[in-house]
Amino acid sequence: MMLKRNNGKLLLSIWLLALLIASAHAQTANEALRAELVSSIDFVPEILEMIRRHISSKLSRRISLIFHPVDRELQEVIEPRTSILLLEQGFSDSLIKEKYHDSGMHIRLAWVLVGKKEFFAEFKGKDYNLETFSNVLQHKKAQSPDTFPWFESLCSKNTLLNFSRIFPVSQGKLTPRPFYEQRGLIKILYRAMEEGLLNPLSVEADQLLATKVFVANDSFCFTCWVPLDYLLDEKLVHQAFGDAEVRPFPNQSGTAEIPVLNLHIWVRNDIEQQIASDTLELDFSNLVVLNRDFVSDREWMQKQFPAIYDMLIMGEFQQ
Amino acid sequence: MKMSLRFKVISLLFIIITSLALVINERSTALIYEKTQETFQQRLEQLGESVKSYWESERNLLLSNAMLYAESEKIVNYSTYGLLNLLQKEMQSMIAKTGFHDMQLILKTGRLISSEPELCREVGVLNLKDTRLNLAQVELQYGDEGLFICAEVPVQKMGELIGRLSLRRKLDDTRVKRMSRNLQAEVALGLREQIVASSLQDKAREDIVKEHFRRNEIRDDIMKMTLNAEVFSVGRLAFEKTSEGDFLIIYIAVSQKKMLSLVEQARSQNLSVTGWALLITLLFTVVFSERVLISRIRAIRDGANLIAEGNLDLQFKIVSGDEIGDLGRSFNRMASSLKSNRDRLGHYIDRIENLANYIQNILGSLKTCVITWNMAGRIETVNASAMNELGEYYGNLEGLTLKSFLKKLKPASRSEMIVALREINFKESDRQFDIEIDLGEHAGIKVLQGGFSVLRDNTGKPYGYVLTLSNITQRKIIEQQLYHADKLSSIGQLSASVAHEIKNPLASIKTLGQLLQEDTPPEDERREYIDVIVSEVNRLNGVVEQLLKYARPEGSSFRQQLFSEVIKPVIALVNHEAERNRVVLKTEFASELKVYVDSEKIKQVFLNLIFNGMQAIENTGTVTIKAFQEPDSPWVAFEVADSGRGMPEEICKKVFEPFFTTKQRGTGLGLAIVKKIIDLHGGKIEVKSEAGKGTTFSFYLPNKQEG
Repeated sequence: MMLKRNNGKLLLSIWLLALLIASAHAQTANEALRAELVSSIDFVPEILEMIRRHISSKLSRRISLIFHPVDRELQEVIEPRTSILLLEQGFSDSLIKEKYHDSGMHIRLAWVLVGKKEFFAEFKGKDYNLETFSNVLQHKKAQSPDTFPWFESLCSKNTLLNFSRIFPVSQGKLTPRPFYEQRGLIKILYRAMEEGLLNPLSVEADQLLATKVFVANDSFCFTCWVPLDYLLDEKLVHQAFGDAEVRPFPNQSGTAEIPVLNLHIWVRNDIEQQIASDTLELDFSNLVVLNRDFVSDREWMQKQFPAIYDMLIMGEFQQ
Repeated sequence: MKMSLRFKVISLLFIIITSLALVINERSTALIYEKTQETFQQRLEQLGESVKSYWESERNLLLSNAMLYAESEKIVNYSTYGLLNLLQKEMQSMIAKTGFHDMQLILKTGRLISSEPELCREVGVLNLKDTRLNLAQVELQYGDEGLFICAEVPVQKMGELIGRLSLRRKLDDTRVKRMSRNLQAEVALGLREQIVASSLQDKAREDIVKEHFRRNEIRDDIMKMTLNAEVFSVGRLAFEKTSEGDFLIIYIAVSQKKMLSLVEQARSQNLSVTGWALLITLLFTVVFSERVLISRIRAIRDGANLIAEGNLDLQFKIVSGDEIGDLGRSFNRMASSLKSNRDRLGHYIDRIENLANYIQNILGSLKTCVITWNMAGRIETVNASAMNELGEYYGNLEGLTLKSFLKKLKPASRSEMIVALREINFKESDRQFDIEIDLGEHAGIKVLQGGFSVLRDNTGKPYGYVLTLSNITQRKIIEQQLYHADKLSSIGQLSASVAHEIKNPLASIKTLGQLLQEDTPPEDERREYIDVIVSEVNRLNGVVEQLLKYARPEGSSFRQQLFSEVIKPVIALVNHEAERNRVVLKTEFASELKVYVDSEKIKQVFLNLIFNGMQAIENTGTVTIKAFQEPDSPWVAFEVADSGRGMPEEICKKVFEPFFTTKQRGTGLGLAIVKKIIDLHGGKIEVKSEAGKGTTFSFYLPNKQEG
């Protein structure tokens, strides 16, 4: 009799202990995993939120993302404490290897044109190139002459860098032709501003302002980084920008050239985290992926950007 | 209700001190109130200045903020570069949490961008040539949305006007309440006789304007109002014109509640302090009065009681020189004086008592009745004689009114007395009058003679009347008797003279008749006539004899004897005659009854009366003889009553007159002789008769001969 009673108590104790462990585990699983993004890109909150959601879906965990902007060598600035590190491609990883291991996975961000649906609707049945883009902008400008349909964050080095990948900076005089017929990045942008299609304030705007202008419906389109998945999934775009779509920025040739940024995922050694592979393959014909590299990009920004920006402001082109 | 002196003094002190305290308290409260009102006025004036200052700073703040916003890089850039949505958002974020109502920007293109999306519209292209567009201004705006203070400034980029920015702050209840908190006073803004914003709630919100315009004729900028059952001092300022040209009036109301509460508190405290002071004062007064005043007064009171009980030898021991000491000394003097006066008074009282007794004795000894009336007509004094004479008739005379006195008298007596009283009032004559008092059936009538005189005090002023009365009943009786006797005496004397004249001729006639009788034989026819002549002459001779007997003065032989000894021979004498006439004789008298009479004469009286009675009875009847004496009565009463035919009243009045007879062969002297004998005894006789029932002769004889 006494034995039975003791067995009952023992079973009850075991059951309670199991319940406690399960509860603790569940609590651990529900806790947000802290991740740190180390990049030289001037991400705005909207983009960071996209990245956070993207990582979260990949890890199947709630993620709290910390952005660590850098424009120097990693070792000088970083002392990571989070569970996961997202390192821009090109950063040196020597300092973090002691505590983190490379998951072998990465997240890919694409620099695209974000536009209102009504804006992209005007492209329907037309070639997706710079001329059509210009026509649509003019059409919008005609509807509201006091406003500017296109806004860019030309004060941002990354924006100009990305544009320079699509439209090489070429020398030469500014021709009286429309901007889409101009040769060279600065002339295109300068002419677009002269035509009243690109908002002149773009030269003083950063990514944050450009995003705000777009969200405030003061422009029909602007460029920014988005996870590559957004090119295929409208729902994701809708979550971020509302009634909008993303497309590669049109160029004169009609090919889709997209600057892409790889963010490598590093996991702290004491964390066991399964990360699904990013198996997404984009189905863009004529898609040209222009991979960014931290080291070369940094060099461009230091050497090329000031001159290009001055030209853009001053409009003094080399003959 | 008896109250002690201490109670009275303390009560008086209490009332005086309380009244003074209340008056002083009320006066001081009124003074505080008045001063506080002045303070309120000053406070309102200060508040007015504060409002002006507040208003100025508000204008400056608004203007400086508007200028700051107009110079904002974002505002300028967004305006310049057509980022109107962002501009609107920026404007919204700028004024968020600032307390400004809205911000508007009119672009030179005519587009109005407002922080309130619904207000965004086209308003017309700005005329850039208008130089006023480059000026800043602040104005009041009043419309459907309410009252606003609006600062309008130019927005320029690189010196070129790109629009005008206006920043508005709504002057609503919230704003006014903030102002109210800062000023620590209620504030209301009025326009066009309406409240547009107020820190006041409910009914008071509108009342302040209504009250103001109701009192507008007073034109007083500082008023006292009751708002929401609370008293306020209200000041008003005509402030600034709106863009529509209406004056904004600012009302500043300072509640007097706290002040009134403080005043009331001060008054309560004053009253409380006064109450305590009063209580302590009263306690001191009680102790002081007990120690210094009451105990000594009580000693004097006890002394006064002893003096009142007759101890006039009492003397207080005086130690203090104050008023109580003076009172004690006065008391001692009073006691000494009282003692002296008491001795003298005793002496006087003795003398007065003696004098009063003497006067009382005189009045009591007087045979004359003395009655005095006061001016109110009530009897004050009655002497013993008056009580003797009139007591039986009136009962207690003292206090009897003159009217009641007169009412009981016979009309004739009453008239005489009234005439006399009237004359004494007008002429002070000494008119004498007689009054008759009917003492009853058997007692007869009492006759009193008297007169009035005026009773005067020492100053000669009349204060009553004196009536003196003397009993003249006996004198009246004697006068009547004398009158009657005189009348009878005259008749007697006349009868005697007539009888002597008649008797001699009669003797001659009788002699001659007898001679003729003797000469005439019996057979002679003339003999019968001669016999009649002789017989009639004899009868006339008898009458003359009786007449002479009546008129003849006779001596009297009075003595005390039993009545039975008087009446029995009479009864024996008439008994035979009575039986012959079938008359029953009855006697009723006490065997021991004694009478003081001349028995022979009284026998004649009874003989005449019994024969008179028997003659009145026609067939059979009864003659009753009674004799009796009432206890304590000086009279013995006798009655001879028959059951005969009776007599009418006219006859009754004349039956005692001589020669009055109803009989054919009577002399008319029988009852006259009865009357004469009764008078001779000092008695009186009366007759009562009723036709068919009989006649009763009653006579009264004194029990004892007077003198």
